Amino acid sequence: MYKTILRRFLVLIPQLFLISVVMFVLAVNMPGDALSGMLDPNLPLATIEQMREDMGLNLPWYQRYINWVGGMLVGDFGRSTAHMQPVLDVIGERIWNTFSLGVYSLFLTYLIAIPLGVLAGKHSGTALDKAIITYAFVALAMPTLVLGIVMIFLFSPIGLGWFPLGGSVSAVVLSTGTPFEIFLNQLHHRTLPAISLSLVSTITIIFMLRANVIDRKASDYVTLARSKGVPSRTIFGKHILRNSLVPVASHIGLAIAFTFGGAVFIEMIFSYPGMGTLFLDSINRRDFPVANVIVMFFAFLTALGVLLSDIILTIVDPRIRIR
Amino acid sequence: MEQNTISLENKGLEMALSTKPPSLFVLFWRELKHDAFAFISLFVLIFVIVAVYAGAFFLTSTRDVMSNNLINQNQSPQDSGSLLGTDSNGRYVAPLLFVAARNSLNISFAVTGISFIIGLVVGVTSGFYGGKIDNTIMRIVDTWTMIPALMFIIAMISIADQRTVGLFILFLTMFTWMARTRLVRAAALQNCNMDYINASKTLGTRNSVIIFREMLPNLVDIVVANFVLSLAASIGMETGLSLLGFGLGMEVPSLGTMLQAALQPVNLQFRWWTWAPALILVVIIMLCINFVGNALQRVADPKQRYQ
Amino acid sequence: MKKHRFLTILAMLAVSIFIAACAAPAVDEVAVDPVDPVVGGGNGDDNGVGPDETVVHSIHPALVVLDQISLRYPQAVNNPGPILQPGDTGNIIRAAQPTTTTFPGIFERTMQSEAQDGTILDLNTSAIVSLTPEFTWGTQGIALISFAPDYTWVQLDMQYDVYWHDGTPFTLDDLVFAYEIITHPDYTGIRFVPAHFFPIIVGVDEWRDGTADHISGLVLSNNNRTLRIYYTEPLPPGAQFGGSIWLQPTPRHWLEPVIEELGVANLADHARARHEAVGFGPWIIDTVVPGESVLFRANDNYHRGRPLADYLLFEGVHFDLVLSAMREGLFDVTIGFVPAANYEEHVLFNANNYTMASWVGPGQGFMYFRTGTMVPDEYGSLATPRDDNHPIQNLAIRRALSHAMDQELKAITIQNGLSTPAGNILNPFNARQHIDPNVLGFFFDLDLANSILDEAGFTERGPDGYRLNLDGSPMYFNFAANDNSFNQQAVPTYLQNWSNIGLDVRLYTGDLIEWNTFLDNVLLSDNWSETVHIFISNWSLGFNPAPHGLWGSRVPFNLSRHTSPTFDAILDDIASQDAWNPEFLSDAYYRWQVYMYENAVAAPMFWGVQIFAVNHRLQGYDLTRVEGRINIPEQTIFWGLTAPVAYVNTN
Repeated sequence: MYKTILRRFLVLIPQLFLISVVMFVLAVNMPGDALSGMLDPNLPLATIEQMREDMGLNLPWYQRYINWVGGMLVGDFGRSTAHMQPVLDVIGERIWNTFSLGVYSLFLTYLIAIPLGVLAGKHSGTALDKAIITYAFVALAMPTLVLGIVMIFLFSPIGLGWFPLGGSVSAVVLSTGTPFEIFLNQLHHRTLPAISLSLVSTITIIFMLRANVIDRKASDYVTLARSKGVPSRTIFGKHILRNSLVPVASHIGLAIAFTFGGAVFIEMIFSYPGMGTLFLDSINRRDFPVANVIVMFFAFLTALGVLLSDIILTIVDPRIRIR
Repeated sequence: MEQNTISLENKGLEMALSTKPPSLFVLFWRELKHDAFAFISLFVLIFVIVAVYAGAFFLTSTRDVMSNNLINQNQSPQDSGSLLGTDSNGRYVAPLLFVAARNSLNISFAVTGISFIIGLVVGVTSGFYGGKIDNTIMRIVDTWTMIPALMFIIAMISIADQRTVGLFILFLTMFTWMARTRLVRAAALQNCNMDYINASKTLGTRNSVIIFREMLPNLVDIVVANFVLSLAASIGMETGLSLLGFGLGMEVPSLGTMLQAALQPVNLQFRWWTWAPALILVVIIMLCINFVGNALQRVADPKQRYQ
Repeated sequence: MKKHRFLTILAMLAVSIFIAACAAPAVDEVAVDPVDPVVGGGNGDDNGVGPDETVVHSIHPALVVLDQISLRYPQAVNNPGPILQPGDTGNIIRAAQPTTTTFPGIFERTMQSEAQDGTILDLNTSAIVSLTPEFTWGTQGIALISFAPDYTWVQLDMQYDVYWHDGTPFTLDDLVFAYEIITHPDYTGIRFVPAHFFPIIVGVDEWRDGTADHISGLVLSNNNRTLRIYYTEPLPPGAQFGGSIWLQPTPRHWLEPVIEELGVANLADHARARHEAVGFGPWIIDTVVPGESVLFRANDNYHRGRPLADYLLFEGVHFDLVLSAMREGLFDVTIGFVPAANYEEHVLFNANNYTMASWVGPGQGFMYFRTGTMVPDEYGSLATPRDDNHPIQNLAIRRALSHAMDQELKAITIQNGLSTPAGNILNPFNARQHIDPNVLGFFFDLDLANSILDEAGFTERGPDGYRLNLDGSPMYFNFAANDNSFNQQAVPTYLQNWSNIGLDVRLYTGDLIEWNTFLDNVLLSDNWSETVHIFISNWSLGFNPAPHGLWGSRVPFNLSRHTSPTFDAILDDIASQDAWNPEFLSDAYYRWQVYMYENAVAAPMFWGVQIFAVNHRLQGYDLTRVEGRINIPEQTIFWGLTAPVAYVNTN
């Protein structure tokens, strides 16, 4: 099995390489470049042209690509043109935000989804089950964005005021608060986006869990246990629940990938300064060094997530083995 | 007596051999009869789709729904004399809703349809032929899946000189075909290991005949169920992108562009008619699709079927 | 079963058509027939901007309207009450900046390029010379500026003792340091431009070559309180305006070690150019949340007095949420204007805890008619009249197009009454004193537009109802505008306006153009010169109203590519040494306005005001252009708070 994992990792490299080439070509062909935003009647064209030359923007794309890859191999991920900082510094500022939001959101996802899914499965066919399914469908039907907007208008200071308007932390607290206070404040800022982000993931898990529970309920070993006289609660807890949770655990990899990927929309609505808004900004400002690295990063994360799912699945379910 | 038994047995055998398994439609109908939600949803869905297409056809051939008329902007239903008032461009919301819904549905059908055709072709090839072909194809699918879809779509739309509908469909399809392929391939693999395929192969039937006549019909249930469910996903994607401003151009209304009005507090609070109809329509369509799609899925999976 | 199905579908079809028919209004109201021109909404007489040219105005009529609009929201807001003193609880001003992006966080003038960083920097530091209400150099800043009689040198004399935030005394050597950075050969910022007169400083070439270890043209006195900058040529009249000569210093003691360590190119990497930046203004940077917000604390040693508040919290907030936040009392003031599109929200919600202040804004849009192309020559490229005899070169066509635009409608509906149709090619923001009251703009008058075309001979119409060219061939115009929310609403109406006078104007590519594509093909190059005839573009005007930056014959921003001997002569006059004489300058501006009107080179679109929201607990917010209060930092030291917590909307 370790051989397979290693093989998967090795295959990852050419895959990432391919993606990076595609992204790079895409970026180079976009109308406008990093200096477009500086158009200003006070800036003569000759200066802008000179700056282009200096920044190497006039080189053919394969040349720039080679420079970029070469740089990456020695740890130099390029400089952001908009932030005038090394790309790693720029991303470093934001990565904690996205990461913490993702983790928080995953936590909430499972917190909400597992009880709901189990309940729906256990009481399948009843009104409770129908209610949960309907909730799931409605949540599925509403585009994430609309959900986010609704949340803002309900819970932010514009509505009930339970949560702040946006941002990741309050500067005042950051300046004057204890680390614990800062942590709480950050949590406070992240709750609304995390809930919005998690709502869609919960649906897949609820359905999966529900289906699994229903399956197990009708299975042979459960019937056997019942006929032996084992109390319902034990049957449920020991047999059904544990076995149902297994595929859910394997889903975590995909959930990770989805959460980080889907964050772009959410971050935009909540003005949350994470990698998603960084990506949007860098596309708008044609700051390609940053955009390329972010895309690579997410691709890597997605691949990792899928791999993680497969590995967990193999570990917990002996029936499946990676070929 | 003996003769009767034998003839009865023969008759039984005959009947058994001549009765076909119930068709997809019959199974589906059975399922529907026992699931009130799905039943209602199906009819609502059909009604909405027909109404939208008919209404849009009628409207675009008789008037200019899209003309700007700023003087009339933002009139409530009472003021404007029309059922749903006008939006910020002075366009009447009600006819616009028909055209927008039709556009959204068109795009979703196109995206889902095309990605399905690709998925079927690639998936069946991969699953049926197996081996090296399967491996190569799956490597490609894997790589493509790794690309962060949203980011690429945003980047590509920023590139495009012109935001045509065709381009938009292309972009969406580019990132949805992988999941279909995987699904079809899994089903194909399952089927290929089954005896009836092996029997046909032993008999020497041509591959294409095996695929088309024997395997495909068995894939139909799964494929149809997934098709319907992914319609909903396509609508969701298109709406989301349009809301953000990465959707269609100015002249092509869609449910997503109509929802953009909800992004402003003034509209949200004072001018419900600019965004609420679109929202309700989106929710209804997606809910119905989901209920119907789930019913179809239960049909495809004998374990979950209503017995 | 089958029959039932079919009937059901038929019934649903019928029902849906019925609904569609009921829901849509009658046909006639919406369609516009190009064959019979519809004379819409009057000819604009209501504003006093009328075609009656025998009347002599003492104030430009459009200026009158603009002033009325500004009166709606005062330039100065005063909320009485006892002011919180330093040390009181809740003595923190919370300022919101309406924006959609995050800021890069480069808080060093030489390297800063994003506007958002600039606004934040304004609170932390400032230019060393103040500005007068006409945006020329004033006398209340840290230093006084004086010019040589022949304008070949400039002298700065410090008049106050000023200290950087870490206590080090400020001297003019810090300004020299800024010059050394910007003119350094490794400099990667965007400030080394002729507009700041860097290339013509004496000794700059040797500095850039590396043959000199300082710039010989920058001469400091022994105590570093006087500086003379020598130039190789006389400075043009533009040098008297703010923002021309570079007067933003950089702390040498703070950043020279950084340069020694990282080099000039990477100056912006270091924390000392970011959240540890040091300025000498009223507010000291305390904490930065990257991209989102900055917390400032008051500078006790500011030479003009300590700010009344203890802290200032500056946050970027999304446009659509800003006013909601104001209603909830989350912010006390907006630094940065509230977009006109969101203004409706203010009116409709009618909150009682804040008011608006306004001033005439620097935005100006033009409708350009491309009458020429850029032809490369030995010096670069030169504007040359078109050679394809397109009707856009016909003056009557351009005048008709200009008079057919119903800008009033757009000002009221899209910009919510915060603008008025522009009355003149000049803008009251920076050229109010030059606006001649009798040079009227292109007011909306369909009759006039039609008669202009008729008199010019464009009387025949083709089968589709559009006018034919003089030689009988059909004519059409391509129109390009970039994709923003204003254009999305306005462009279809422009097209309709023009179709009402019988001119066929089409959207090039069929849709609005994405900004970067627009930039590449319209502004920065001539790719679309042959094919596109009409554009819209918007600028944010600077302090100097001189037009050669936007209309010069070699400048790419001259989007109309218009040129003629008279035109070039007027531009040269305004930029010449003679223009240091105010009378000469006035006369040149007069000729400029008349030329632009008579030749319909481009049609200016709107004059407007910008609005800022002010919570009642902010004691005062004064936008009147008084020397010493032009810039935000100069204003903020005067803002005090009258309550420990913000007022919340109680409606």
